[in-house]
Amino acid sequence: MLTLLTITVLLFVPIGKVFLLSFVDSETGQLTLANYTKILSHKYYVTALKNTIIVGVLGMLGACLLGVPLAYCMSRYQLPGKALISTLAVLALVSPPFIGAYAWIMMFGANGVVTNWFKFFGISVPTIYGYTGIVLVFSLKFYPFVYLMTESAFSSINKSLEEAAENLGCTAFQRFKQVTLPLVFPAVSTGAILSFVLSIADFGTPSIIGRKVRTLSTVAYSQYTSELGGPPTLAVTISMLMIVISIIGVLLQRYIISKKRYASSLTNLSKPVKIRGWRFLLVTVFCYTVVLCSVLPSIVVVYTSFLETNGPVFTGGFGLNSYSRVLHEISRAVVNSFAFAGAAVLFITLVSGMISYLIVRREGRVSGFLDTILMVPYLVPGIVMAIGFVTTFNRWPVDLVATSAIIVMVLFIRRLPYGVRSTTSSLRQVKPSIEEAAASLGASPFRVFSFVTVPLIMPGIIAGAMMSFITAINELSSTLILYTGKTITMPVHIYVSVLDGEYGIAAALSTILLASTGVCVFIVFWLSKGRKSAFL
Amino acid sequence: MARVQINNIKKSYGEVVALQDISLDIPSGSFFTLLGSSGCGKTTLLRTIAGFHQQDQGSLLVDGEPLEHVPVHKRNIGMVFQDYAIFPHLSVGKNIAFGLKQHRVPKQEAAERVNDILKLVQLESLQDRMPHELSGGQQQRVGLARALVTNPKVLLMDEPLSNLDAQLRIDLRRELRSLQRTLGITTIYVTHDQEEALEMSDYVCVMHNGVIQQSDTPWAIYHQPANQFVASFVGSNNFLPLDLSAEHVAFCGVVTDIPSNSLASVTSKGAVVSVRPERVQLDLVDTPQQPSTTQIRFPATVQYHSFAGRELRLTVQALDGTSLQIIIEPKEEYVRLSENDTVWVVVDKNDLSFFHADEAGQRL
Repeated sequence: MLTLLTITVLLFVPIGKVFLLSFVDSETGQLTLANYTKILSHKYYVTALKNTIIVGVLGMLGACLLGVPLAYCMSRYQLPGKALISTLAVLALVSPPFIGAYAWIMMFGANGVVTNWFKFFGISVPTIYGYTGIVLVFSLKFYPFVYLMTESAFSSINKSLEEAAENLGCTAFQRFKQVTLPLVFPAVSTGAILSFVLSIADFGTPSIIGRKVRTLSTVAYSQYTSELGGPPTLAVTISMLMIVISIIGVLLQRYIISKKRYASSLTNLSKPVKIRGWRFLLVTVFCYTVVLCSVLPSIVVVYTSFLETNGPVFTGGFGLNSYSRVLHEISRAVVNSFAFAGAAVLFITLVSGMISYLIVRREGRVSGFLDTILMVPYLVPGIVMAIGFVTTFNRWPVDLVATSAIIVMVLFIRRLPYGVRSTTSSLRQVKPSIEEAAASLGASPFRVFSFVTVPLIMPGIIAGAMMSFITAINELSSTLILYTGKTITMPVHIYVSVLDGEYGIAAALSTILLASTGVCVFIVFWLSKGRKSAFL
Repeated sequence: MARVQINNIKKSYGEVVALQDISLDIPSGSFFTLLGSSGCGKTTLLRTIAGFHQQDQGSLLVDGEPLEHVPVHKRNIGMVFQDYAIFPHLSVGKNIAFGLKQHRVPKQEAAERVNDILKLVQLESLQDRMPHELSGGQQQRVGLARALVTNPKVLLMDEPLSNLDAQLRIDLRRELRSLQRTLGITTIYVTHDQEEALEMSDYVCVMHNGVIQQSDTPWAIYHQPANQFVASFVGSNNFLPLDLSAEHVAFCGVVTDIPSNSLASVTSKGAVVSVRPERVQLDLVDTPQQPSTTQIRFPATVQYHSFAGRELRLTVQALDGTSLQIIIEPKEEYVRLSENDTVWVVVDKNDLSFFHADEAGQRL
């Protein structure tokens, strides 16, 4: 009960506060719609709104254009190194998008390696800044959602359906368009809407690579920093717009697929077929190009972290210069990151165990309510959540501004769904009869839970903890609002370093992040016995 | 060894009544079966005894001790589950020792008891195996051993054989039954399989819609069904409506010497007569070999017949249009029958049962 109350307070009070503040005049304190009319009539904000929707939609389409064909090829054809392809896709999924953004700048930016190389031959490369860069990063970052969701949908289509279509006279293309694609559409749209929501919430990418293209998240951030001292009225109003767009997107997707639920029999599944010649070449090259492009930023970052630098300039030659600077100058960011993420994950693990138990074993109103409210953190962008926390816990009796606690709390509430989902799905695998058997053999409810239930769901608990840890340690948008010199984290420091042109430090920190992420991914892979769905 | 008394237990889920005033007295050491189709309340009753459900009303006593306020883990009632419910993270030995650990049995003694029970269920060599290495039948033996090792007062079994292959199911029936006899443990067994119920039990309780239809020995359930539901659910039966306005009862258009008024005096709602298909005999010639006063004979035409190996099933139509199912031993001359052939049907009057024609269909 206390848990439920805590979650409700942590979730709804800040969001409610944001909601309220957006309707209050900052000077007179009266209820008003003026904030909204101001934002919707001002070109600066309207452009940001348009940009947000444009990059959101284009990022989503890009993710689909990469993810759906990749899923089709992976589920239907025999390809060399399939495990490698899907591992790379997962790595792309879990690495933070802002690393992608600045790595692309290092390659194709104004002074990028590739740009300079082409310049040497007198060829000018189209600019990476603006829409191009944002959409490129989003597509390459979010396609794994579409891919992972769609691949399992493709694999679970009954082969007879496609054979029936062919038997009725469809060409291969007609068959794909009229039978296969509609059947996987619900899965594609779920992956797509995830990409959309995450695209519009993302702060690091547009802020690093967007240049003049401002989105609502970057505008909200700069508005927030310029309103410091007074109530962040315009920042929260922009935040509300972001929440509304996310909700509209999700509702629209739900509405579209509500009439498209297909039962699948999971029998007569299609097996991957062998292909030869130019088709084999085409498919293999396509798959590898997609996944390699998506992990290219990480490779570039790791590589540059071992280059010697002098300020923003790479002096050539290898060395651990960047790492020793991290160690001596900013070890606090590293320690903070691990401490905050670790603390948040500890609470997430404890709470998600209880919540999962309520959801799975106590069917009813409470469990439905929990299921629903755990959707909320997905829909509320990090920037918005952080602004909500700052405006809520900023005075007596709970003044948490500039503390570590507020960061841990935001990380906790934002990443709780990962823990709950993983624990819930493994708890669903435990048949109630197993617990009943233990009880009938004389085990008290507490002993049943600790000696039967917990050991059985342990893999799910750990996988969930790892997933929350990955996402918590890579968190940028909310911590950027909440951090102070004492509570700075690695992602924030990377962001600051990139803006300062300190690419060496950024690369070294990013490598540390990527390495710890990689370890967690490995653990999840191992625990979930290769089921990639654990990463969704 | 314990007597189980169930007094006026009621249980409903919202509007749905799962158990309607159930009362049973289960003698110590007996094998007692709850028989019924899915949704009849048999599993709800079993789970109420185990303590997984709490009854809305009524009391439950084991050896005279009320169990209402005793939580599941303190009831000392063993349970074998339909899906085995073997702990997947524990070896066979540890699965079986689980209950002993909860009851704080010393290690040495626990090891001995695990060994003894493993021998009893013929799994001695599998003590260190993990559950996923076992077949379904072996898993169910582990489930049984695990439930028995703590010497529970009562053993509950929820369709323990229904997930097994047909042949194994039949073998295990006998094994379970003889084990139960050896241990003398009061056993309450749930099944939807009537053959299983009749073959294994000392007593069978037929349930339908949360109500006990009949609770009696297998013989009585089969031969003196308490109502139309039991008569049709256990075994198969022909039900024919009776016209009680005539002076004598007519069966398939044949007037018998059974007077109608004896039936009419006890029912105002009309009556139904039944005869089991396997009690109906056939004659291919009109002349009875041994004319008998207890038999009813009449001609009929073959509508349908099918040979099913150990028996022959026929549907015949009497002259008044009544259809009758017949099951007989498949003699060659019967198998050669074809549609519309005329045969003589012989029914013994002692094989007829009479029921009220209303919904409850009580036996007359």
